[in-house]
Amino acid sequence: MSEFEVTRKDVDDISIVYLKGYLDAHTAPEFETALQQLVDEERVKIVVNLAKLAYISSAGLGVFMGFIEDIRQKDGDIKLAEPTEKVFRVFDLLGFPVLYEIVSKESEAVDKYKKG
Amino acid sequence: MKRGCIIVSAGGLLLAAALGTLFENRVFTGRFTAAEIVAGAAILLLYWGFVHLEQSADRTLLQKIGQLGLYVLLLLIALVLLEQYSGTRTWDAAGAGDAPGIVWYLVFAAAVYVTVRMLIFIQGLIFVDQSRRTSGMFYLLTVVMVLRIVQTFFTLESGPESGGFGWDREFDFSNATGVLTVLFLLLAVLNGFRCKWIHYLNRRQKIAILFAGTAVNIIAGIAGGSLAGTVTRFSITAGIFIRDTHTFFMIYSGLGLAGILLQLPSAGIMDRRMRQIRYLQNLGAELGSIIEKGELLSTSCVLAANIVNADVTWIELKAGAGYRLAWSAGLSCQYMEELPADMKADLRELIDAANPSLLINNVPRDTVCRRMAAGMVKAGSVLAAPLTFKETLRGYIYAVNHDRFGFSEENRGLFRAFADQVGVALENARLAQVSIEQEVYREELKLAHNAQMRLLPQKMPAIAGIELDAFCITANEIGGDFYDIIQVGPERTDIVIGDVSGKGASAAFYMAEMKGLVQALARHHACPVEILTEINGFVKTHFEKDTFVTMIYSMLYHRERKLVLARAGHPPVALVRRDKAEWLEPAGIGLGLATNDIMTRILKKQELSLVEGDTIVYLTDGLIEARNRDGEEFGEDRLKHILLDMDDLPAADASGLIRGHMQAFIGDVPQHDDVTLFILRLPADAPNNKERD
Repeated sequence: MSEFEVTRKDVDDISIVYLKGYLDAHTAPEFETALQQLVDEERVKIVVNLAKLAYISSAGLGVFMGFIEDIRQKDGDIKLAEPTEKVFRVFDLLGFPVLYEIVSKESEAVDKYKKG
Repeated sequence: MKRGCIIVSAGGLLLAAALGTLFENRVFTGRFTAAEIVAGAAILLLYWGFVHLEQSADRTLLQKIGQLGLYVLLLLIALVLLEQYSGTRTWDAAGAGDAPGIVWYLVFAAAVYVTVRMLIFIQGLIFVDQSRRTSGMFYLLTVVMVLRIVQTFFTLESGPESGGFGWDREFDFSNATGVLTVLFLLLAVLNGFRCKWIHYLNRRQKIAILFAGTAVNIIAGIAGGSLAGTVTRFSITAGIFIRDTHTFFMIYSGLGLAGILLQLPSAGIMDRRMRQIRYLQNLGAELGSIIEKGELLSTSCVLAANIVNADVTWIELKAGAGYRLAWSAGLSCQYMEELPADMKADLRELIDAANPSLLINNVPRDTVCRRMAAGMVKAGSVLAAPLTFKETLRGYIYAVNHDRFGFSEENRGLFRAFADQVGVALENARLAQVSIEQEVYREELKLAHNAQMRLLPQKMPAIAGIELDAFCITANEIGGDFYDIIQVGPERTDIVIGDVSGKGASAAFYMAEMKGLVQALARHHACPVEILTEINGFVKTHFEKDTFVTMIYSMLYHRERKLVLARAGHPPVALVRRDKAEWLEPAGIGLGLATNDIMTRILKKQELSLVEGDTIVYLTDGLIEARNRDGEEFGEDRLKHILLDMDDLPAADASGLIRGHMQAFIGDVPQHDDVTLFILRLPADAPNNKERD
């Protein structure tokens, strides 16, 4: 039931992380590991593509919070792209749009990094 | 059992009929095919019936042999007496001599009966520890016996008495007779080697059976010949059956007795082995029942000393990279601890290589253990074995005897077998310990759950004209959902609902902290936004980075019928008014996500004038996100429909209804998040309470 997958694509200095399935307390560590890996590699311009994310729980949301300050201190950011309506509703209720850039196209997020 | 009785009775009746017919009508030149067939069928039925009957065998082998011997002996005596009385050795053409025909008839019937019993008896012995080939071999023999009967019947030319039954005829290879005889003897001998029953006899039983068996063998030999010769005179089937079975019995028992004779010299040792095995089995059961490790070790040391007759025993167990002395018997631990470490290490290597266990007979002369003899103990010989469970080494067990050559070769196997039992028992004890710890953990979780549930309001305050009700179902024993009701003065009641991110113990701790914080702040602030901002500062500073809290803080003013609320990232509140349901969703952000500056900028409060008939529903995301078997979510829309259908249900019934709907929706799928719901309702027909104070 908690099928979850994290894949990653690097474009220049930007890394795109694709989430798929259910991100909850059980699968959050997997996402955490992926982000930690990026931070360790000093790749802090991150786009998280949410197109295939079916569900996100509070533990999953917590992962973003655990990293965002650290990444922003390193002049990086986490931008969220292509959330489904349902997932966006969760982000919206929590007030994420105030804190994170959420865009409807992955390329949009990438462009924003490129423009600096 | 019952079936066996019926078959035996039927067989007996048939036998009586067949023998009766043959007896009355036997003319030496004729054959009575029908009667012979009936006799054969009767014998088969008797055999079959007895196979069923014999299953309940509680008599010992010796008793069985004795019984069989007695039967055969009685038959023999009857026959001899009959011959004496009749003056003729066989029943012949002139009639039954002076003896009445019925007496002969009875003796013959009895002979058939006893012979069937004899065949069953042998079969029982052959089938001890049988393999598939064993039973096949036996049944093949019976088939050959049947063939011999049929063949004899058709080759005897002019009545039984002229055919003769000497071995000349038996080995006549001009027809099938000779071949069948050889086949019969061969199979009889082959079956004779199936005598595993001997292994289960102790020395005394072997001797007793040797004597009894020899006696019965001789009696059967004599009786078989006499009976067969006589019976064959009037029934070929019965006669040949009797003779062949007796021959088979003699061959089988002869080989069996020879086997016993050969094993007699080693019977004493075998007995001791058997006793040791039984002793070890009991020991295993005894050790297995001890789950306290210390008791297990002490018992093992004492038992080990008893088993191999040692003066000192000790057990050392793996501890980290090395070993530590776990228990000893017969001497203070000091001795073992003072043994040089390098010698102990060498010894362990020797034990690992030894099979089944390490035996050093002459310690003072041993290159490795010499130093052992110099210690406080007079060590003459040492026996040692590893303690393992499924290939995993747990430690070693040692036994020391003051005398040189104090242990026998036999002790080596025994000691290892014992060590293996201790290894298993140690694992048992470990598993028992683990399960006890788990039980304690579960018990503690339950206590934590109860403690957490007590943090929730135990009863709703009574406010005139307002109904309140709530439920909270945790997914695990402890969770992060909470709600609270704080009465701030006579005119204001604060209603709070919240959810700490994550699950389990940490979420539960933070939840308890929230309760305290809310209770403290409520009295000092008159605006929900202020309270939420205060809490935000606390969460941001004191909670882990990835932990946040969502909350709705609302203030209910009794007199004004006014509700002021602010939402910190929490799912919105539902307002049901007349035939409409809407979500109250003032702007907000989860607690702990952002700084207080951002918080005050974003958070908006919403004011609501309540009218009679209004229902306000607070909930946590666990309700909206509850999933059924197909992964479908309960969802905001489904809830909205339920809320609209509630009409004027009292708050308690309404919360019960929603709870019922949710549980029916998820069915038997385990709940994956806490679900909390709080209902506030102004009944339409509520009495005016404005004059309350």
